[in-house]
Amino acid sequence: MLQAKTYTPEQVAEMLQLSKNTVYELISRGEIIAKKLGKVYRIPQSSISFIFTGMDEDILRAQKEDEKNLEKIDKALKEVRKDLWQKSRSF
Amino acid sequence: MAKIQVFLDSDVIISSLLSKTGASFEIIRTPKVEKIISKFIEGETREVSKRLKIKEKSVKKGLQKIGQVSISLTKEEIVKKYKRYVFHGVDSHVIAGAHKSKSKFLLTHNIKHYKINKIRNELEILVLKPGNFLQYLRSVDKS
Repeated sequence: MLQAKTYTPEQVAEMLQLSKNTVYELISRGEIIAKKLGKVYRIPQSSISFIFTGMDEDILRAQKEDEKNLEKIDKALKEVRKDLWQKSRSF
Repeated sequence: MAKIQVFLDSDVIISSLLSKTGASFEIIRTPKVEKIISKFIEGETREVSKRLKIKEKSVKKGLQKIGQVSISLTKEEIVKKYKRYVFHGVDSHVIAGAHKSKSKFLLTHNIKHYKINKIRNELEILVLKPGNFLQYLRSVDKS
């Protein structure tokens, strides 16, 4: 079952310390992507990922894409850095 | 908007060579950012790329988009001046490169290797992950 978290504009206003009207304005400008259900809006967590991660959703995705390779990069870089550092006298 | 200069740690360049949808590739690609490395970082990048079997042609192409600064210090001088900003002496040269190039940002995936508060307070260099830097770019982009 899908369990995606959504928020009301009022909840988002409180989290972002903005007025409710500002949140509606941000929705109408497309800066916060929301879904209109009848007369009310619901805002998916992904639209406000900045609150939780410090990054917008697309940037967070790009950062996570990099992180998939970090283990092997770290391992190789640790060895190479140590080796080159020992061999080098000036930089 | 004037170009923002950043100093890159080797892991950012290597990440950009391994994924074209990652944050590191986006930083290498964007013309809004002037990228700088040192000769030592270039050497590390080439050697790690070899070990990870990244095509030499891709490495050469990636490095062409990045400028270079000369640190012009001996190992002893680097250790004396910059070891206090890192947890392991071998990482001192990264701080030396960022400082010598007068960059305001050092981008690395391994922020835990650096004493980021001390670096910010004493050298006025912000140590950030590529994703955090992209978020910063977005926040200052007026277009």
